[in-house]
Amino acid sequence: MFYRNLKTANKLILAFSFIAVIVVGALIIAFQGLQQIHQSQQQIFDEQFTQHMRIKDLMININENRALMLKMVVQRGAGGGLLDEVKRSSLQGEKLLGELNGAAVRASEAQDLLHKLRDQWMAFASAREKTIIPLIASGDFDSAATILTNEQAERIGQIRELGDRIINLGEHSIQQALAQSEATVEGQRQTIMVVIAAILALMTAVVWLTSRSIAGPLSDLTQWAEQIAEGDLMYGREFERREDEVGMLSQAFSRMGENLRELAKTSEAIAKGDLTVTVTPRSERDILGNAFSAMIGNLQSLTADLKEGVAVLSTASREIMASTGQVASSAQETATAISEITTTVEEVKQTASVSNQKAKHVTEAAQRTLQVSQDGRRAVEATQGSMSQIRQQMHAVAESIVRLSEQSQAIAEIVATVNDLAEQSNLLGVNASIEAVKSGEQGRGFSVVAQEVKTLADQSKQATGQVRNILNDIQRAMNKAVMVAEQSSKAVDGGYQQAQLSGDAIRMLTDSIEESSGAALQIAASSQQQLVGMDQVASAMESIKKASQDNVEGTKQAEQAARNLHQLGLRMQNRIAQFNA
Amino acid sequence: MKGSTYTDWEALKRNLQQVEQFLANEFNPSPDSARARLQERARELAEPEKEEDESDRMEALVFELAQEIYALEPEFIAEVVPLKPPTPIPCTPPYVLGVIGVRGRIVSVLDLRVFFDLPLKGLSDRNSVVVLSQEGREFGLLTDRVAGIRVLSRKRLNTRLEHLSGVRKEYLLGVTPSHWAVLDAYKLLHDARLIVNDRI
Repeated sequence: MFYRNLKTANKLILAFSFIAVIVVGALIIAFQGLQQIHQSQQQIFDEQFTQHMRIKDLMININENRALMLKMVVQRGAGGGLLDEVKRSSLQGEKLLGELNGAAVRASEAQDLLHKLRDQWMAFASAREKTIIPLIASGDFDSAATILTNEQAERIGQIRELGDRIINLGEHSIQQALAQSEATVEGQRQTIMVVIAAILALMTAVVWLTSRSIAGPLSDLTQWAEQIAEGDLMYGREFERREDEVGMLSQAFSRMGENLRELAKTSEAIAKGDLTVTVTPRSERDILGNAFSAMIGNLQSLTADLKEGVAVLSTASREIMASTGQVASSAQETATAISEITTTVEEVKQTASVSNQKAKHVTEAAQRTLQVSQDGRRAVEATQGSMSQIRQQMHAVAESIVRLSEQSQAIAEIVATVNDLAEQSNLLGVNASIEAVKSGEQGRGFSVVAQEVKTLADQSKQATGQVRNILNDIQRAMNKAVMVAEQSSKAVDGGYQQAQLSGDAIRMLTDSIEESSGAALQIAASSQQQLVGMDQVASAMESIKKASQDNVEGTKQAEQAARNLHQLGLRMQNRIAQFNA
Repeated sequence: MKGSTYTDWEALKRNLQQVEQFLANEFNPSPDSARARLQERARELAEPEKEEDESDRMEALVFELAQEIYALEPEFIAEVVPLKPPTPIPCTPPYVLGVIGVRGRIVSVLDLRVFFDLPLKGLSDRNSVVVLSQEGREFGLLTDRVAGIRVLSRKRLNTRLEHLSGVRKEYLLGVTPSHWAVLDAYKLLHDARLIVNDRI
């Protein structure tokens, strides 16, 4: 009961402290065992292994000593410091022997063996000092060599044997010490196993206790919280009264459930339309309570507003209904008008098409006219050329006539000469006749000839007269021809001028016709554009027509919607009346 | 180019060709035409002369002067020369035109129109001078036109010249039936009035 009333933190501290104490105890026991093992190992090393090393060193020292001695014998003398070397080696061997004696104190068997080894070493040392060195010093190297190879070698063999026996003894004792430490380790292991079992049992007990005192009530609380979460607030639940956190938590849960139940009852009342209930918040931080209080206030004012709003909505929806009726009828009228406009646009399009055709015809006619005017210009230019040629030819004719006139002048002169000749011939004939007459009968025949000459002269004169007349005629004709040629030349000049004027006129005409043609082309192009534009207008009018029909449909739907809105307003009025604020 | 008279150029060309041909033929006559002409002339010449009374036959030089025809016996006629521009001589009677040179001699020219008081109608351009000459007396008579030697009938010469008047009457032998005035050259040559010897 005491443990149950302890705070959960204290409970946890107590349990974990207990477990820590037990674990520390177990660890101390194990550490002590390890310490024992370590000590026994150290002992073995110190006692036995060091002893072995010393014996080995002594062996090496003895061998070195003997080798130095043999070297002295071989070199026939103790020169080169060999004697000093022997002395130093002897001192080292003495020191090693002393250490051996100091260390080996335990086994009696080993003690005996050590005594024997020491005796032998002493014998070896005395033999060296008393016999061999003096022999060498005296120069009896052969006897010294003999002693060295026989007695001293024997002694060394005994010393080696003794050393081996001591080492064997030491190894035996090491085996024993190892067996002993093995036994110690086994004991330690058993002890640790027992301690671990005890610790596990104790920990299980502590954990079970703690779990039972915390997890059980918490599970109950969780179950209840689940119930609340599912909205089941209809009955409360009693918990055992405890002083720890779990107990406090249970009581807090119980109070929370009470509060929630109260709020739920209030909500039920509000849901039934009773807005007269009041909720007093438990504190300033009671958000839910405050919120409920505010909500009730808000709902009251909202209901009032809604009532007003619904009234307004009802009126407005009635008005909207009336307006949509008007809109529907005007949309119908608009649709009719648009239909008429569409027909008119179609007619205008037809007219535009006709005018486009006309414009095309006009363009073609203008092109032809342009062609004709250009032909006319060329013709006038050709006429001008011909006129110029004619003028030149007229000049040539005039020149010919002038030449003719000159030639007829020459003929006239010739005729005058001939006339003169005829005159003289005449006179000659006359004179001849006179002479013939004067000569009487003899001159009669000559008189005939003279008469004949005179006749010929007369005829010549007549002929020249005729020629003169003809020449006069010719001269008159030529004068006339010159006059005519002059007139013709003037006429041709006039014609040339006229042709030039005509050319200018036709050129101007061509220019203006070209302009007209360009204008006609532009008119045709604009007319084409107009036609395209009329097509677009017609399609646009078609779209507008469809849109207006859609408008009519939409207006009907809007009318229906307004009707529905009105009914909704009425329904909402009824619903709002159920709330009594 | 007035009006629309169409000129027949082909006809004109044909005409010109004909003229050309005619001219060529005229100056190079064909052998036939030449022979025909010569034969005609021979025939005329072969015609026998008419038998006339030798005493009645009278040959005279016929010339025209002031629209009248005169005749002169060729007996005193030296020759007929064309009238050259006469050199006027001052202080001579009006009927003396002047003098001209004929074959190196200076011959005075008389205008019978003035001498006979005939109307002056100017000179024709075919004036010739009939030079009369006998025994150192020599002068020329201006004539309009010399017709040539003609045979006249002495019997038919009208010597009654009552109707004639003036100076002319004195120098006439007679008038032929065709009213030709036959002048008396001898009288003219020996007329004292025609000898000019004025002193100034």
